Amino acid sequence: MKARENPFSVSLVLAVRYRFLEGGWEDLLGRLHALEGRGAIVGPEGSGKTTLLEDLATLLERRGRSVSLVTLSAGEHSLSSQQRRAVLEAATSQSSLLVDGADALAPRAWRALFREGGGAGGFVVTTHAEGLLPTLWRTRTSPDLFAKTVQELTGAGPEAFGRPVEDLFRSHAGNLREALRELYDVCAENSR
Amino acid sequence: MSRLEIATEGGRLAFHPGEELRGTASWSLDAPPTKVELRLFWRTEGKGSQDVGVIETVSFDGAGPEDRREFRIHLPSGPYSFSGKLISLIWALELVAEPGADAGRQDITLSPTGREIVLAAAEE
Repeated sequence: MKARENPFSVSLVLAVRYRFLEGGWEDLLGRLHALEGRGAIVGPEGSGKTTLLEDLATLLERRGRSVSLVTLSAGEHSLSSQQRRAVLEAATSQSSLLVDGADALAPRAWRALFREGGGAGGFVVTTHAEGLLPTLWRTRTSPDLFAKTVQELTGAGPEAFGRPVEDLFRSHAGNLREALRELYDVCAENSR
Repeated sequence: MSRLEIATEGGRLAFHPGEELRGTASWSLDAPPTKVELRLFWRTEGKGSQDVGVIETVSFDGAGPEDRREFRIHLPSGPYSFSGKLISLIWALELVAEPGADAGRQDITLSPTGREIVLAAAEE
């Protein structure tokens, strides 16, 4: 199958938005309010932290908030000058500062971000482990969530691609991104 | 609801490198635009993260909320439109108006054969 026809291509997978397994936006926003706008979205790889953070950014903007979204990749142990500017601007303008992958930062860089980001109108980060900020939300996945995601992308369940959903889900330890990448390969090998 | 449309001359969607692409952009917007522009770009689709390259931008000065403009774009010599199992490169025209998030898009093919280059493995 051609890459552009693959239903599991990255652009299509990234278009799938966050699904709450329990609770919903009002619960999350209520908790964020209770935490005075500061908290961490915590969860393992491929559990939807980035997607939830992006969706939170969209929601806050729709509600009239100004948002600065800073994305860090694994291996980025300090903020670039551009990212640092975004942090300082958020602090100055009282925008909400959202930082994806905050646990990539070295301790010293995190302390600087914590100090500078603390002045923003809101401060939400994603991390793999608890402890950077009070936990706002824990992301997790389930075989049912995986099945629904595949259904949304293809109109069919994971079984249509040759493996039982539970099997595929568990073989990737619940990492939906990796499970979907495996299905990309299954489709790529199909000659249609 | 806003409408933005791109029509290529004669409805052609496949072009040779270096050729001139002619067409018409038309739109009907909910609010007067501050900017309307047409972009020629390529993007990748596939297993890896997406890349995008904007090659040319045509701005339509003094655009009204309901308008229609002809355009001409000199297409580059490459890269060609192609597809393999892991990556496809797709050329497209996009018509965008600000403010607003609406856009009109038309995929096209850029190739010396007039057809997308299909890498052998994806053809199997």
